[in-house]
Amino acid sequence: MKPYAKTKTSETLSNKTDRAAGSPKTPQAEPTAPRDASKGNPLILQTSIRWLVYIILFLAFFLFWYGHHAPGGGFIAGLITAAAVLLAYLALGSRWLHSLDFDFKYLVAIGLSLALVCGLAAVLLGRPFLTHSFGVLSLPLLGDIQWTTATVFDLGVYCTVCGACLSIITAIGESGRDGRPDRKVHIPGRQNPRHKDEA
Amino acid sequence: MLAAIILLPFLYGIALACCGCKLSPRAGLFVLPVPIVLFLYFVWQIPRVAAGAGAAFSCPLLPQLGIDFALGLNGVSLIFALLISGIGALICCYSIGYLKPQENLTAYYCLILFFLGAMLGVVVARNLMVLYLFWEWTSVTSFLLIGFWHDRSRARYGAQKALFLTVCGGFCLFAAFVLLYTVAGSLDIDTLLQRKELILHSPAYIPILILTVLGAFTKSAQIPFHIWLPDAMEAPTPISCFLHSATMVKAGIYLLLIMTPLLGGNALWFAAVSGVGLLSLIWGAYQALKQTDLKAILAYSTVSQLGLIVALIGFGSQASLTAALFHTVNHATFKGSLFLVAGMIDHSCGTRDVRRLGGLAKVMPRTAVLAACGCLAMAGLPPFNGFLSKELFFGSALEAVSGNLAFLGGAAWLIPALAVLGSIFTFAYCLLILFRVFAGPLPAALPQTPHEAPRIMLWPSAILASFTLIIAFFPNLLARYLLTPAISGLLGETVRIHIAFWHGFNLSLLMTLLVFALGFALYKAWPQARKLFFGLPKLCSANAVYDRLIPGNGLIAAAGKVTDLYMTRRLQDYIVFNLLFFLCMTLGSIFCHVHGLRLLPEISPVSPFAYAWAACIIAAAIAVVRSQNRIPAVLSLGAIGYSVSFFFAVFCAPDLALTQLLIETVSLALFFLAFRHLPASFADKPQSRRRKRFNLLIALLTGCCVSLVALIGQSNRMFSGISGYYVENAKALTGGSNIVNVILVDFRGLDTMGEISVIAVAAIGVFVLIGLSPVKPFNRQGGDRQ
Repeated sequence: MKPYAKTKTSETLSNKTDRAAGSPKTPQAEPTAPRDASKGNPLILQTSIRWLVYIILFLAFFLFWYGHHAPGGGFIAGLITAAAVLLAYLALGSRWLHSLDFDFKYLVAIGLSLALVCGLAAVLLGRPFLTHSFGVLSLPLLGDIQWTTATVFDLGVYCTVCGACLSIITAIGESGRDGRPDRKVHIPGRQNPRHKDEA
Repeated sequence: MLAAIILLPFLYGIALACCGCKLSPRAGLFVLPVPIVLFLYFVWQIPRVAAGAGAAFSCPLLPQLGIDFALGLNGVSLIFALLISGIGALICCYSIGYLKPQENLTAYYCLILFFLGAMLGVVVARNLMVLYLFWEWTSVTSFLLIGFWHDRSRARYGAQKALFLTVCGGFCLFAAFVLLYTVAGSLDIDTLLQRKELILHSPAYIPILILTVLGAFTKSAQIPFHIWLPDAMEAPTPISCFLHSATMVKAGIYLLLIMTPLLGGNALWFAAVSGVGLLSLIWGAYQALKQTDLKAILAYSTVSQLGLIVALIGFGSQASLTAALFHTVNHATFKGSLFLVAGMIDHSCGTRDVRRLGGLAKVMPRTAVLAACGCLAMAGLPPFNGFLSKELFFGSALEAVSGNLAFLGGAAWLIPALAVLGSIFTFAYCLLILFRVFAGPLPAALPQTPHEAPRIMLWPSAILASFTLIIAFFPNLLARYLLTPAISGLLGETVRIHIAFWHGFNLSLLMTLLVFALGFALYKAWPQARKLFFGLPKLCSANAVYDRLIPGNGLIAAAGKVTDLYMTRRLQDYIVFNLLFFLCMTLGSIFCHVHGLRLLPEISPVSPFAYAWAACIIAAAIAVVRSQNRIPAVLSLGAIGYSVSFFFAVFCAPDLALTQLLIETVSLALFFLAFRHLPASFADKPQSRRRKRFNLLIALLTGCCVSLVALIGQSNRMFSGISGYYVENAKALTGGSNIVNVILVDFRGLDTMGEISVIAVAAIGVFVLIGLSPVKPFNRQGGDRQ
């Protein structure tokens, strides 16, 4: 218990961070509105995120597509995609997440099934499980494109990794809330499909 | 074609489940075509199999481990396949009338289809691991079907018991197959048969034999593992008929049959198999006499009849194997029809208790006729098929005295004596069922007014009952087209099988007459004999042993206590356990091989820049430990992670660097999401000084150990690395030039498959853990329920 003073300073630091995130523990937060992380976030981040997400997603696509020949691949691309969604979630808050209305656990299931189907396709063709094949496809204008069935498997990896990360993130991030989106707020330009469920 | 036939029920079941619509009771009509198509296919295969050219299919699954998805139809599997698909069709039909519309029919029919496919898989698999796979599938579907009415505690208990015992047997079987593979180097049944000598003379022969027999006995409900079968009667009656009398319990019989040419032929096999079979025959029949629930009588009678078949297999001669197969078919017909009759009685009277039933012949005359066919066939009276197989059974038992079991000496005469005793009990309970339920006055107080069951339930039973007569009058039709190819294939020699009604005046006829006389006497004297039977002291009950060992205070509670030993709910402890285990294993193996290892002093040159960077990492690590607050600690931890990824980048591993960078970023952000659930400071849960010292010691040891392993790995090249192979062949074999990615998705694809499965399980685990916590997590319905 020697560095008492140090502890105190760090606690004040943590309080500050809490306030920045708009914690309900702090008395300054509005008592009626449900807690939303996006309240205290800087406007610049909230505005730029709508563009940044696409840039990050493009990077993910790029790394995925060239992963067979250059650094990258499904695992890395999946993590980048998860990071992009996570960034948007941090900036725009859980209301944005609810407006997506997508259960990332489905992505895990889709990924695993893709990988499995890719492996079983080889079995049906009389080859051992998970045997891949590849070749070159000549297309007009685009030239020679190399294809490989490993890409399908890699897509499965991508979906599983991305889905698993986001399921964990949303599970932890949304825990402790009552799980209810703020229904009065309507995200402009997006029909919130949850309203249908409530009817 | 064969593979498609086996996969058809699975695919149809998945399609049914995916439909998701609420099925009407008539949905059985949509499911019915599947078993009918399968049955017709197998009928079409009869002449081909008889000619020795049954359908076959094979494709490599895991060729490195000797596992091929090999299927093939031979004589024995064809008989079982016909039984499975034929009775499956009748059951689908019967269920339409039996089940109530408000029940979960989708699950019911899906599970029936899955079971059908799995059971067919067991009998057509030609590779032992594929057989094992389907074998466990049948256990799982049986578990789910026994627990179909899962709101009843008896159903849950029965389902758990059945799963526990059959899966334990399954593990034994798995061990036996692994041993067979290590001994003979193959899992293919035909290859194994060629290497029979190798197996017979290996030291693992006895363990293989015992484990295989255990697997078969648990599945076929032989003593002392028979206890799951009566409890499995909590399932709907069509399920009891299909799984627990006609097909699934016959999987053990099938296994014993196909293992006879491989493992049979020595004294232990003959004694173990026929001994357990005879004991089950007597014990099952004796217990059946004491039951009052109609289905419990039939369950114990199934134990007893299966015991008879197992004993026949144990006798091991050509005649006895023929009798075993013949009785398998006969038992399926008469017991199947009896189960369906029991279901109809339950359905129309509302009770299955024989003490409350009586005189049903007046109100349910058609049912009574069907029950009479079944009971008299089971009792072994002419002119039903049971008579023929009982004659064959006595003949085989007498033959075994001087044949395969002659090594027992005078004790071998016990075998026909036990056979006769078991048959007397059987005869008595068959008459008891028939006359107590159908003869006498109609009781006044029945839960429902008894009436004849609907036609859709009567017909399946009638078809099975008619087979008891058809087989009795034309046994040689069966013998010629099904039994001869099966036994010839099994023994590898051409045999001629002729089944006759009349064998002349001989000892087995005398035994049959004795059974009739004493059985009838026991039936007549039942009110007196009953007191004697119930007065016998209970020596030892397998059920009591099970109940003491497994549920409640037994194994499950003990497992809980063991778990509580190490589940301390402190993450620090878990990490310490992991690290301690790692240290013990690594240091132990280094210590064991210390003489063969070298430590070379020279290492690759390290730039001063890298030293400086490493110093940064160390400083950050110290900062993590010294900080009193979570945020600086986590930020320092992030600094370590980013520095390590920088190292990866410097040492030319861009993929690793990228992955590490991303993992670090995501986990850092994740921490800030979880942050509000954690106390900000570490101070509220202080650790004792001793504990801190211990943790420091573990941490230092782990660090030293890892460094040591790295140095040893660098100094000792025990075999050439595989990386060269990847570098050379990546482009040619996979078309990719990023070796890391190519290894992940192609060369070691199966590993990646396992890893993404682990990731998926972890994600589901986190979701469930948080979902089960008192604080409700985010979920799709959560918002609407509030």
